This record gives sequence, structure tokens and C-alpha cells, in this order.
Amino acid sequence: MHLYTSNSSHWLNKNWLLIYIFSLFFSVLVLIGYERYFRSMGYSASVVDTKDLWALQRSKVYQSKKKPLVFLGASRTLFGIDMKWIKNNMQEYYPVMLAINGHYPMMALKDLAKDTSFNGVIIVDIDSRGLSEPNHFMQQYYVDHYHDVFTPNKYIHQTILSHLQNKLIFTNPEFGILSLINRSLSDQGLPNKPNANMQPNRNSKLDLLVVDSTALANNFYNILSQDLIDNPAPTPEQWLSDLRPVKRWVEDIKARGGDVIFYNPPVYGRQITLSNKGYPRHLYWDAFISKMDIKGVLSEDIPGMEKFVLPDESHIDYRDKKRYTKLLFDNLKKENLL
Amino acid sequence: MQFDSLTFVVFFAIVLLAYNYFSSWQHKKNILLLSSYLFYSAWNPLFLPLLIFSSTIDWWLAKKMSKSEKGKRKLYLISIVFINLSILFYFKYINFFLDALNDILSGFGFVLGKYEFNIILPLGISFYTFHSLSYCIDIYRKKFEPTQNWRDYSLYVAFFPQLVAGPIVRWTQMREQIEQPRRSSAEGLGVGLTLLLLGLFEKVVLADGVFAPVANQIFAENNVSSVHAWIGTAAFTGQIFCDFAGYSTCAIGAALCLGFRLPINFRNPYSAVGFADFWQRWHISLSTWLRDYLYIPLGGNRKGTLFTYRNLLLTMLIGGLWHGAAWTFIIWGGLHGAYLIFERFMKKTTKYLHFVPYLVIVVFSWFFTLLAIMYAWVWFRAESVTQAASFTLKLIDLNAAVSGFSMISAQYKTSLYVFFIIVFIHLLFKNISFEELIKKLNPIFLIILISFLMVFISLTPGGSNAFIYFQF
Repeated sequence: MHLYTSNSSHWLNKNWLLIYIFSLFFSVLVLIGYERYFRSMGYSASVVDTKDLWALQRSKVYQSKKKPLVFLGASRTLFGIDMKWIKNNMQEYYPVMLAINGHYPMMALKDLAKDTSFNGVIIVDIDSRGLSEPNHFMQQYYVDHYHDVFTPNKYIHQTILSHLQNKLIFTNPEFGILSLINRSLSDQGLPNKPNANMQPNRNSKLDLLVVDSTALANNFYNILSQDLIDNPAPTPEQWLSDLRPVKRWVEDIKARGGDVIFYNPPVYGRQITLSNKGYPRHLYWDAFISKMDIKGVLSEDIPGMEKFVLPDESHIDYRDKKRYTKLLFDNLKKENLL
Repeated sequence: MQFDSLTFVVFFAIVLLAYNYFSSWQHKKNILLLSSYLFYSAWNPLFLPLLIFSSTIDWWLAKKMSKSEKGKRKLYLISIVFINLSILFYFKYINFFLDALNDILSGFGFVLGKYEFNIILPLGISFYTFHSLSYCIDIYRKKFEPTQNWRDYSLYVAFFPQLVAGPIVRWTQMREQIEQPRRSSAEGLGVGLTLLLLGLFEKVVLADGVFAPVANQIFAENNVSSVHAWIGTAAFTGQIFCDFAGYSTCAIGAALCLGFRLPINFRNPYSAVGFADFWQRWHISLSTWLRDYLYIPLGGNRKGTLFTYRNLLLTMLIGGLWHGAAWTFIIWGGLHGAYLIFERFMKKTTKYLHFVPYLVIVVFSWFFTLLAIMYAWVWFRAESVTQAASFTLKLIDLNAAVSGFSMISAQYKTSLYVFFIIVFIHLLFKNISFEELIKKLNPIFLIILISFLMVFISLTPGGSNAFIYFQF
């Protein structure tokens, strides 16, 4: 067979429709094979958490006639709150997940406070260390991305992409062909099976039974203890004084008909002991809630919360997510916080 | 909007359907103009009024200019150039200019203070400004009469395939295409979609998938090693070509699907033998623009050797500055100016090399051209003059580069091999365009090629990364 054709003798010549039908057929065949291979190896599809995905959710705080119920925080909320349960059981609200793994949320709170179009309710997952001023800026680059980089083009692209990633493994960059070629050339084999999974609305689940939870707990403890050495807690007076702008942000949101509830989620074992040592509750958290006249709740004050097992002493396993969310919201309602 | 986004897939499908649904050419053109503005707004709707204002004022002033007598005619031209360059200067160069002025004045003991305007650069402003300028200057030169139709002129400037990153098309290339009815044909769609896929493959798989991760990693290193400097240079040489030529190929393909023909912008540039040859193969629409509206008006090669050298250097320095407001771009332009001067000088001396076989001279010239171009890309990519200078020192240390090669990662090696393949393809198809190739290809190979492109594009997922030339 010749690479070039100099005449139109071939039956396919210039029949572009047939050429494209055959090409599409073969391409789809290869992609189905590729997808099936990874499924047979036990992998599953998951949306990739990126700044664009966060920005897409951030833009959704205006998109419903219902009042937005925004979740700010870090991994404990991202993996702990069951968005499906909220959607089915808190129907007066439109839930939006803006918590970011490993990032304290104060800049996202500030952004929503400065956004005059926002009038929803915010549940802020945070502890006293996260309220400390040096930890305020962690989510700033997500906020900047939303305002400066997230275009209408990205909005549509990310909307379609997250639905594809939710269904097809090969749309995840980790399973892309170049990534696999590079892994294979450097003898790394196939990617590890992730223990976390995310949906287009950033509803996430964390399977803590497939990982070494003790090692995770040790790791979190080591990070916390090192951070408390590197960044010791400021005096309670200084700490509270730094939080004055936060009170203004909350007041701004309330003035527009919204609300803000600070929530300190459960942490057990050595981590909570260390945390309480660094930031004693009565000097920090309780002072913040009472002196600033702010709505807040500590998980240890919620009856029944102690029954949840946190395998890594810090996070809710996805099997407990629904019960945990229900307990939290039943309590918020009972205490007239929501 | 970007060609490599899923948004574009949806947008283009709708545009193709709507464009072919109507039989009236006027309706088709209205659809094209509206979709072009939509395409532009998908990046930042706030800058659409600037695009409309800029094209409207140029269209109106060009009409006035064509009816005016000599003195007034010149005044109109000066106004058009002033307005266009002022807008470009404000958005693109004001901070750079103030910084440079500050540096100069502080050398004399004056302190101007730190002025920093927080300005977002409108997408494609350098491209559509050059579109408009070429139209107005050609009317001033009485090459053609201005169009009386605002919609036609606006479509010429804003036609979405080429709006944000070229090719920089002349009115003479588009006038007939805009004024005479056209439609999508089966061959246009077939070849156009295949070009679109090829362009996406260059951008998504090669530029973003293979080269960008390596180039970004190496150019972010604080103390780069010699071997990394060489690999980073090769990776960026591959990335900039695949990114920009990929965009141009997509643009030509998308236009072809709609029945329009845009001029070729890249012709296998890494096969160039000599620097003049390189500029006839790289970003052809910009180099011909600079030739016609800058180099020739400056005097070209008509006023003797020294003036020719001055004109070459000035043209390339301004070409460098067009790319961005940074000293690294100016030095990149200056390097290319120096290369062109050196080449002219050397051509006079080759007559003394008659004892060397012609093939040896050609091969040596090709290799030297490629190396010099690769080196110039270091300045184009570097974050600062200091970084480029430190890269230069590392590139010189060839012994360290060769001895360090065995230590590099598989990903770096892959990018190097892919770069060699691209150079080989450029040499193999030196004077054949993709379009010619596609038309000549056996249908079975075409099916294999299209399937290969589709599969690789689908299996190289990532974010929708901006094309490098969008920032210009």
C-alpha cells in the first residue's frame, strides 16, 4: 500500500464521511478497551479537584433561587459533609462545597463577605489554630483564581469535564497515556488506587479502611506538633484582636440577610490533646464565640458526636458521613443556629 | 475561548450547524460575526467593547482618509496609528515603560516613585491591532478602496479562528472571501477537521503533555545544571513550536470548515537553512507584516549595507518588543537581528569556501541555524535577563552536559526524543504543508492518522491551558 494516492481509484477517496465514520469507530474502540482495562484493575472514575472545579462551585452561590448553604473549611468538611443528604433533607437551601483539603478557609470567608451579591448561610469548619492570623491566607490563591483566571470559557469547559471525569477513568490526567508512558519508563507501574473520590459538586468520600490509618494519624500528629513549635499560639488577647476583621465580615453577611456559623469538627486522640494544649478552649474558642457575639459550635458539645470512630483521629470515613451530617444539622437546628 | 477546551467543541458544532442552516450569505456573515464576538467574550466579556470600538474607529477613519487629499490623508493615518498604538501601549507597555524610566532616572539621582498599574492585557490585542493597522496603511498607500460595510470589516478583524493569535491576515487575503458567498464543503470539512485535530495534537499532546512539564520544571530551577539547561532549551524549542503552530493549524482548519482559507503561518521552521529562511517559515504572517510595514518603510536594503543592518536590527528589536514588555523579549529580537546581519555578512564570504562541498555547507548551516534559534528561545522563555545569562553559561559547559545525560529522568529523555522527531519531520517534509499532505494521503493511512490523533488527544486530559501566544 502506498502512503500517498496520486489518483482517486481508492473506493474511500474523498469520501470524508466514511473516513470519519471509520476513524471514530476505531477511536471509540480503543478508548473503550483502555477504559475497561482500568476498570478490570479495580480503578474507578473520580472528578479531579482543581482550582477550576473550586471556582465553578464558587460561581454557583448565585445560581439558585434557594438560599445558598456554603461549606467552608478543609478536609474534615470536604470529606465529612454529605452533600446528597443536605440536598434531600435541607431543601430550602442550595448546598455549595467550597472546603479545600489542607487549607484553612478565612480568605474564602472574606471573599464571600465582600461579595455584595452573596446573601447565603456559611458553615465555617475551623479550629482555633486556623483562626490564628498567620493561617488566614491559605485559600487566597483559590479566591484569586476565581476572580482573575476563571473565565466563561473555563466555566463551560469545567462543567463538561467534571461530568466526563465522573464517568470515565481515562479523562483523569493520572491515567492519561503520557502519564502512564512516563511511569512505565521510570518503572513506577500503575498509579496507586486512591482512597478518596469526588463528584462534580465536590461531594467527596474518604475510605479510611483501605489505608494505614495509624500511619496517617501519626503523620497528622507530627505535622501538628511541628507547626505548634514553629508557630506557637499568640496570646489570647492578640489572637482575639487579630480576629476583629472576621467579626466585620460576619456582620456584613448578616446585614445582607445571610448568616455565618463557625463549627469546630471532631478530632480525637493525641491530636486533640495537643491542640487543646496549644489553644486551650476557654482562652481561645469560647472567648471568640462569646466576646465577638458569633454563632459557633464545638463538636465535643454535640451529644452523640463522640460515638463516631475517626480511624486517623481526624476524618470521618465515608460510611459514617450521612449519620454524621444528620447529627450535625439536627443539632444546629435544635440550638437555633440554623 | 480556546481551541483545546470542551467549550470550543460545543461552540464550533453549534456555529457549523447555524452557519450551514442559513442559505443567505448576509445571515451567514452575521452568524460569523456574532459567534466571533461570543468566542472573544468567553475569555473576558469586558474587553469586547474595546475590540468593537477599536475596529469601528479604524473602519470609520480609514473611510474618511480614503476621501481626503494628501496632507489631510497623512493626518488621518497619523491619528489611526496614534490611537491604535496608544491603546496597545497602555495595556501592554505602560508598566514596563515606567519601570525602565524609573531605572534610568534613578541612575541620575531622581526618584520617580513606584507606579504599578494593575492592568489586564486584553486577549489578542497585538494581533487585532496589526490587522487594523495593515488595513489602514494599505488604504493610505491606495492599494485598495475601503469597504463601506462595517460588518464586513468587523468580521475581517474579529473572525474567530484567527482573532486571538493569528495568522495576521491582510484585507487583500480576506476581502473576496468575505464579500463572495461561501459554504462548508465536504472536502473543506474533512481537511479542516483533520487540521483541527492535528493542531490540537500539537498543542494538547506535544506542547502541554510532553514539552511544557519539562520546560516549566527546568526554567523554575534556581541553579540549573548544564544537562538540564540543554534539555530545557530543547523542550521549550519544541513547546513554542507545537503551541503556536498548533494554534495556527487549528485556526486554518476551523476556517476551512467554514469555507475560508487562511494563509499558512508555519512551514516546518526547524528545517531552515539560515535565519532569513527561518523567518520565511516561522510566524510567516508576522514576519511579512514587519517586512511590509516596518523594514521596507525604514528603507529596507535600498540604502547601502550599514542602513540595511540598522533596519534589520530595528525591525527585529521591535518584533521582539511586540511579543511582550520585557527586556528578555527585546534581547530575543536583538539576537535575531544580529543573526540576520551575520548571515548577510557571511553570504559575502562563502565565495571563498568553494572548495567545501555544497552539502557540507548546507548541513552545517542548518545545524548552526537550529542551535542559534534554540539559544534565542532561552531568552524568550527566561523569567529575567539574569536567568537567561545563567542558562547561557550552563549551555556552554558541554562536557558537564554530556556527562550528566545518563542521570536525567525518563520524562526528560522522552521530551528530548520527541524534539528530535519533530526536527526530523521538519526536515522530511521541508516544503510540504499539512494541508497538502492530508490531501495526498492514502485514505487507509488517513483513517489511521485521524484515529491516532483522536485517541491521543482524548487520552491526554488536562486543564485547558492557555496558548503561549495568547499573552501577546
